Amino acid sequence: MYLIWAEYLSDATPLRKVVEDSVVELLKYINIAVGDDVVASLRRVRDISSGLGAEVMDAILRNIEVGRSEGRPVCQDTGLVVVKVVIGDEFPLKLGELRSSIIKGITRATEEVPLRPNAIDSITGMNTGSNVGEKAPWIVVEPTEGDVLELGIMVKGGGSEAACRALAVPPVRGLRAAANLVVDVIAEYSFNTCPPLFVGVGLGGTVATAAEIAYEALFRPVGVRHWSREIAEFEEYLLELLNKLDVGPGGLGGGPTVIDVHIETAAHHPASMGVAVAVNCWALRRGKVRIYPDGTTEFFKYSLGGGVWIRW
Amino acid sequence: MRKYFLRTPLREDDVRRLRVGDKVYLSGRLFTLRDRGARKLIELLSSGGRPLVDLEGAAVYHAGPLARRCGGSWEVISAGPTTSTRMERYDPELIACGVKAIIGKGRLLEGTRKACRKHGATYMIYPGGCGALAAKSIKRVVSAHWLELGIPEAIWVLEVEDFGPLYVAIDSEGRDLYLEREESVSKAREKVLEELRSRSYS
Repeated sequence: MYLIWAEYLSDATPLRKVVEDSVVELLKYINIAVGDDVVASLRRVRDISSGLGAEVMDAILRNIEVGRSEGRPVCQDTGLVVVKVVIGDEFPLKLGELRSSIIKGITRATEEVPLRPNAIDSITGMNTGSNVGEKAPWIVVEPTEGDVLELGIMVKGGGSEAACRALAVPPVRGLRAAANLVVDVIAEYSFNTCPPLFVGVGLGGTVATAAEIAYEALFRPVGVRHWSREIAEFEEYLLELLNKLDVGPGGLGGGPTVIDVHIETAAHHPASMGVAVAVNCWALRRGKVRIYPDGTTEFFKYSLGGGVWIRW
Repeated sequence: MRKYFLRTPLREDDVRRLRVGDKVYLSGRLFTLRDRGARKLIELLSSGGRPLVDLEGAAVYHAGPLARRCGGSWEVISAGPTTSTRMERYDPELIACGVKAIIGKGRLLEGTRKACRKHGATYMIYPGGCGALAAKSIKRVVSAHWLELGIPEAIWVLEVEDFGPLYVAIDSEGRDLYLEREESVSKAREKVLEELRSRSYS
């Protein structure tokens, strides 16, 4: 009898279940609470806004309060779920098991948070009802050394997603092309993308690489610059440039258009270079968790300019 | 900026009093409309079918709520606006059929502007992404139609109380807030691109 009970206990929290639960918790947290860095930066935006822009910021901050106090997702568009996995080669789960645990987590979160079912089958046009479908979630896997799993989840809403772009340019025009692309995208589409915005830029690699790293850039805490000084300065330059467009909160002027610009870089081919821009609305919803082989977890608590890993 | 509290069904003379930039809180009923649900309703109207909802003095909300079944009815958890630009092409017909207010977010074009002027209607924006706040002023789901299209694209008839803040973006005089904003942004864009051209890159 004791043996059966012990087996049940050890069976109750296998790593697969830890992954599944972490996915549910992350989706709950990012949809309802948003990151502390994002909320702090929105408060700063409110402080320097005026007129209709300030009115929109007041509504956004009230909305976040309601979301947090009543446990409601801040936006009804709980996005398409994007998953980034950095997996140590000694982490004891196989990739297939990991995938099915992530899918279980998303299915459960759809019921428990709840999330709006946002996965539409591209062949039949039917809503799958579960946020899971063909190649959804899209899981990006980056192998590394060690025995830790780092699970990043972002929910990407459709409004700002509609403004995202990726293309290939001659490398000699790389930075200039990136700057032009970002300015064009923000100037043309930002009325529809729920500004103030967060902008991720991917520079280098193929078009596919550039797009992936542009999304990855959005995982970086607000206010943290690229590790290389040259790119860090370019991020600040772009931020300043984009705010001269004066789109403003809700597109109504009277305040900042873009809160932060993050660039990620990758090596490129001598003849071509990917450039991508990932536009995100004010509701930047992403989070990270680390899972250790013994089942303990750490959650990345974002703050302006940084963040810390805390036991969960 | 003036502030108004209006109730549906909306009366033309009330709507004609609204000006771009005014703030409105709406009570009564509104129905959601987006993508396939919108297309289906328009197809129904043009084939002479009876619409599911009364369009006279109605307020259309471009939104796809996050809702969950709660016993025999539905609970709306979060319900901010979706981008109205995608449904712009249906606005003139809806407004001609009696709709007095289009609610959503983002840029609309000439078709809506003309229809608003002709029939005394308005386009109002709700701050994008504020789904939790919006849901608080939704008192009840009156009915849900075409759920086979999925929760976001179904048509939801909602009872609301002081739903807002809504900001008038197109008024019945044909003024368009975003058109004016767009002119200023495109001027700024020229300057920014000029600055980019003059910068040297390593």
